Amino acid sequence: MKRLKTLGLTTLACAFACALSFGAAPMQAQDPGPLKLDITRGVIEPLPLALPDFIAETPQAAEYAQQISEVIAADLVGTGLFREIPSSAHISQVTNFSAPVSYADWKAINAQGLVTGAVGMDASGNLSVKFRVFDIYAEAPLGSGLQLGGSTTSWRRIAHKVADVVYSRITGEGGYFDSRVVFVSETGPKNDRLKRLAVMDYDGAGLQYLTDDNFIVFAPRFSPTGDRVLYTSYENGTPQIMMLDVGTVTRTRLPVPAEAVTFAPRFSPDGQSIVYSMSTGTNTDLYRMDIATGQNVRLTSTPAIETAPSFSPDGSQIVFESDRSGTQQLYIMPANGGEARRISAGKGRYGTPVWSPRGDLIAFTKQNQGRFHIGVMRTDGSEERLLTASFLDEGPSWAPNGRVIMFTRESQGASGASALYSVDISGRNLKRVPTNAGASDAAWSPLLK
Amino acid sequence: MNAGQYISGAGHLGLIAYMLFGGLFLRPERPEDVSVQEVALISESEFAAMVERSTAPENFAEAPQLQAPQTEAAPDVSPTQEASPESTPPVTPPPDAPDAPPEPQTSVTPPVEVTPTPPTPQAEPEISLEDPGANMPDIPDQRPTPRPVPRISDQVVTAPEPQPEISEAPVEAANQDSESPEVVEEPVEEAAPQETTTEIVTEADRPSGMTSSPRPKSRPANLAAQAEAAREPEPEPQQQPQEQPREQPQQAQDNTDAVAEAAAAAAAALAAESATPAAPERPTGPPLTSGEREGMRVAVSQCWNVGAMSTEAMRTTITVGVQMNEDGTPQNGSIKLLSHSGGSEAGASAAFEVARRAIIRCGASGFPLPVEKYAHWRNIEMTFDPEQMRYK
Repeated sequence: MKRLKTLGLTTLACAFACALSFGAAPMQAQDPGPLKLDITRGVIEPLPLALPDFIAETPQAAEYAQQISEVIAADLVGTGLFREIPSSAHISQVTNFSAPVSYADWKAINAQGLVTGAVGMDASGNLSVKFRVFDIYAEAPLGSGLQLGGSTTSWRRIAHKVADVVYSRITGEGGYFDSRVVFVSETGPKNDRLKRLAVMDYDGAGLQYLTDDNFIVFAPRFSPTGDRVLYTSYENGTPQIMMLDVGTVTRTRLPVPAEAVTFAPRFSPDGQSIVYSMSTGTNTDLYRMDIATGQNVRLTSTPAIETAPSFSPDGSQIVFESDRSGTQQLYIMPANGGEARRISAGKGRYGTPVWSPRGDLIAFTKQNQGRFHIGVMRTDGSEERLLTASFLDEGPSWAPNGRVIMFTRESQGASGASALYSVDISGRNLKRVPTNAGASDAAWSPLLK
Repeated sequence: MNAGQYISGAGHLGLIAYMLFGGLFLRPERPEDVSVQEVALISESEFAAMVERSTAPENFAEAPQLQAPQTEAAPDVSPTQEASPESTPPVTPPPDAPDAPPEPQTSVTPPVEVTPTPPTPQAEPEISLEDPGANMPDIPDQRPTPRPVPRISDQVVTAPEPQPEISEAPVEAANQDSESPEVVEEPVEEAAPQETTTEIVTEADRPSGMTSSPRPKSRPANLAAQAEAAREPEPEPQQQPQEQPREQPQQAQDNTDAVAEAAAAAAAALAAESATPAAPERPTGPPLTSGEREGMRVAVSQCWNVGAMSTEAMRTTITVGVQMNEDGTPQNGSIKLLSHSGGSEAGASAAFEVARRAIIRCGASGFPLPVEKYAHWRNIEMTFDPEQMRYK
């Protein structure tokens, strides 16, 4: 018995020593490493922003400070990506542009972003607007502060530019607020519409008419620099493409055959040439014209109707619609002509394709089962998504940042009217663009300089 | 690492060597003394006569009232006999007189007038004649303490004191020279009413089970210090029972020294190897359960708002590293972009801002992570993949 006990204790001693010696290495390598998690599901909701009114540094600037603040808020909230926290809920009051930000107060009301600014006016009556954007939870400014200046008549543009910067710093992509839209303003009954070209800010403000209503006009398109507009006019009795200088509001006839029917023009990305459709008899093909020389090059030569061309952002390709397969479908071909490949593959008819400014998507109109849709697809025709559906949706146009699409929606019936709508490419935030009358054929300008 | 292997190898070799040759070095144990007891052979007639003579009287079941012995009749007991330090407190008192045959009814009385003058450090307990049972010396190993009585009655009956053995047959006087008279115990079939009590004591009132279970101690922080402590001589010998042989404490001391030496050697090797403070401050503990991981994932997902994320960022999968505080809050300054795929640098930067905002916002009050597993989530790498959140 005693011997057994001795054996047990000795064994215990050896086991303890072995455990310590072998346990040394595992304990030394005991750090289990970082915990790895895969986050694949999130939430989609407007980001709460605090947008206190900009501070008026002079009494004369008070009115502009208020209006600029309102436009900034309207721009940001109108995207559907942001939600403004009412000023009545603010704990901290921004009374000094240079005062430090009390992040805790803004966190308390769940503000994730903060925009502070001040508006001043010098002796000559020019406005100066300075602003900062803060990431509340990071407790750091998003970029450095900026200051913009301009005349009092351009206060809206200043406000849009401020909103563009805020949008860009928070979302990581460019804004589209400081842009304009050219469209066809429509008045009168449906069977006797009066149409004329008009241009306005993207939000409907600053409306200006470019043509009178003596002739039917349609399908206006901005140049890459936004200083010219191509459109189609019945001024000569038949549809013919025209070019209009926005600054001087002077129009120019393009060197196309006088007897030909030309329509659906669009600028190339470099603004040096245009691509358009020309009908001769029952055939319609695509042509490319050098604006400077007036030289025309035929791009397609089929018995089908090919129209609605749109350049890719790099200018190397053209997407267009054609019924060469029997129904309207979308095709892509080289910018100088050549073999075209069909990219649309779904049921229904596809038309009016427009290449995204970012080059990744193509927006289109789709008619299927008596309904019209605005949709997008990748340039190879994959991942087609329909964003809208109504009695008649057509004519998509991309915002400068490639995030929003504006299009025409016409209501049903004899009293139906056309209106402009915009939708996010996610399919959310569908809303009507305010116009003073009926509107159609919207074309978004690039960001203004 | 090598030292640990050497120690392990040495330990194993030692174990194998012990198993092979350990018997050679061990001193053979001294065989226990064989106790010889002489028995007498009796015939059947003698046995019958003995049984007839020892037939129990009718009142055997009732314990006779013990009469206080007459002091005059009690013989004087020599102090030298009682003061012997080797004498074990007797249960059966010695006979009244060495020569006179004891009276059966009175011979069970304890000795009277015990002179409590033993010079030994262990004072003999006083024995009172008025209540012999109350002041009986505590003999722990003689008879177990009666357990709580479950029987309920209208009157309390205390357990009878251990009754001395009543021998029917004349017994020869014990040899006073014997060091420890043999204690004879026989079970008493019927002696007194069973123990009862007047109140019910339930398990709820007095739990008999363990109120707390012992937990294994955590790994000592300083094995070397404990090993040193184990080297110190144990203060136990004074608490050891005197009747234990002296060899066992010495042997235990030797074994303890062996364990302490082994622990010290291993701790020294460990300390030498772990010179860098790479070991975590607290025990690693088991890894996070799937539920705990899912809870963390859901907590971050609730704040991962991709609604305002750019299209480019929506195509970018990023991996973000963050160091956590023990209270479950992230160290905001430690959040960094580790890698990205599927998008541009601008998209990765935008996606990182959204992810960082999610971590900070939902971690402000602490993520639901078990603090005892802090070592497992001290550093977290989160991969934000917006594939399922894209427009489709």
